[in-house]
Amino acid sequence: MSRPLSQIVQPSNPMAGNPTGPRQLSLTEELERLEQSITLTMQEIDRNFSQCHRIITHSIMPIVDKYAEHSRDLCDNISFWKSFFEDSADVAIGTYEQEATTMGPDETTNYDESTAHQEEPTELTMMQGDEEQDHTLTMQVQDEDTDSTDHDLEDESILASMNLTGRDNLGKARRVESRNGKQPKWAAIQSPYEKLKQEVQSQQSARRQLSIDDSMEESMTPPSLPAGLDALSLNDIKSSSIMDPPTTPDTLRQKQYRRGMSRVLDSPEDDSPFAPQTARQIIPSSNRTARRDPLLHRAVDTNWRVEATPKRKTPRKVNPNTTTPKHRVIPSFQDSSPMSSPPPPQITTVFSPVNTIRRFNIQPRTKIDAPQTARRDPKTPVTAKKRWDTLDPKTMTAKDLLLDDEFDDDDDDDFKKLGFSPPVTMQFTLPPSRLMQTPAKQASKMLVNDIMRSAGFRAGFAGGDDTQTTMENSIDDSPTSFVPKPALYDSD
Amino acid sequence: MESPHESQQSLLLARIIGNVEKLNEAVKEFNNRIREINAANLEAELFSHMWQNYQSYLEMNLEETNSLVPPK
Repeated sequence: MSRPLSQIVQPSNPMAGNPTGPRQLSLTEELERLEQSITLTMQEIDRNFSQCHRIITHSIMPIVDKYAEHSRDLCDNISFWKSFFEDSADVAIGTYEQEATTMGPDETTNYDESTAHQEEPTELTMMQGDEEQDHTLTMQVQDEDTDSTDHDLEDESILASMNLTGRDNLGKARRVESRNGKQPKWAAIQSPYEKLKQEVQSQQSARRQLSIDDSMEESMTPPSLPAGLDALSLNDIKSSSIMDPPTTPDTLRQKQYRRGMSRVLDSPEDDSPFAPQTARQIIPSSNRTARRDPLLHRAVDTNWRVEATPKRKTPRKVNPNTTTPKHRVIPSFQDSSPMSSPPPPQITTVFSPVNTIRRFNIQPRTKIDAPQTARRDPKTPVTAKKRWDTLDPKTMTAKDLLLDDEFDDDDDDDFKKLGFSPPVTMQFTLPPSRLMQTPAKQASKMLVNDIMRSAGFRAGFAGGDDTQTTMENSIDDSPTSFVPKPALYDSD
Repeated sequence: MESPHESQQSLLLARIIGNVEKLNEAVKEFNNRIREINAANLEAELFSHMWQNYQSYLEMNLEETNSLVPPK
């Protein structure tokens, strides 16, 4: 490619025999050749650009259109199940874009880890000769590597950190362990769990009925680490002061016992370390304030984050002086644990059969003959119906519930005389507006569409109204079928 | 006197510029569509995370309660 220095300094050396004529001719020819080569190069560039445009418009774009169509179908089918999960967790999950101008502490660690992996992809680019190609290829590889690293870090705990199922600490514990390169050792943490379980169960042997309920609750709730182990796995370094003794499950249990002595406990499983973490989610307040939504993807200048907002608030206000039988919230100033936080959105167990039995105080048949009138409270002369009318579900406290249970017992007398259990309604805990949020409409639409498709009607069943009108038209048009009009609609 | 190569090259340059503009428009359109598709696919990815977490919790729950039945 490069000419020797002698030819550059003395270009007429080969023509030394004829100094004037052939030299000018060769220059003209050289210029002509250069012009032609420039023209050819420009034609080649033009051809390449036009070919690139043709490939993009005729080959890639149709494929992208097909991909968009399929992904749209996928999203339509997913929306039902996504709303199903959202309703079950009582949160609304969405994604939003954010400019990647500022990076938090968690993102900087991710970025450092991603840049640590960027050493070996650059070796691939060393094969290229052009520096610009090297730069562009390296940037592409870095972007891919950053995305893949984000996947590795986020895929396990991206939703576990959003309290979707109330297992926030479990996800964080997993993330901490995965970052340290350790595998979670379930065998080591199961022994104190079993030990505490046996101890508490021995205490509950006198109350056999409640222990049965607890076992049923445990079988219905997702498994979790014990509370002490959650605290250990999260950030015991931050939480435990220097003066404190080393934290073990026993010391934690003693602390919980000391806290529990100053409170009125309605049920013994409230402070049990293996009870589901409902109201006492262990999140440090400093982390909670500095915490951001989990990162889903990161592009060059844009971050996509996931936000989870609770759909509704708790139905009743919790008075810190009174204790409710379930989901008791311990205020932060009373709780010595530095990792107390407001209750995050999670699956409530209000509608579980255990709580229904306990709440409405449904007794077994053997207690029918027990004297019910002795339990009547003389200080409350109002009837149960009037009392339910005056009660507000949002401001209802545990005391009201207990009194209502007694009134339910009084009302149960009639049903017990008749020999069947009293009717259990859940209207006051599940308002009608909440019922309308369930995806029942979509489910019914899908069912109708499937039935109509299987029956042979294939065109124009996008919506439920179209389906109904088509059904009615098809039925009306058929000469052999006679379907009477429903009288319910005519009466209106 | 104008060189014939110069006029030819100016024409070629104009053609190249036109082709680059068209290619730029096509790439912009391509990027917009890909961005829309990615935004739509975020829901799918989110759902896959949900399902994965649900599966892991369910499996751990069944293992803890010793009610995990192997597939027949």
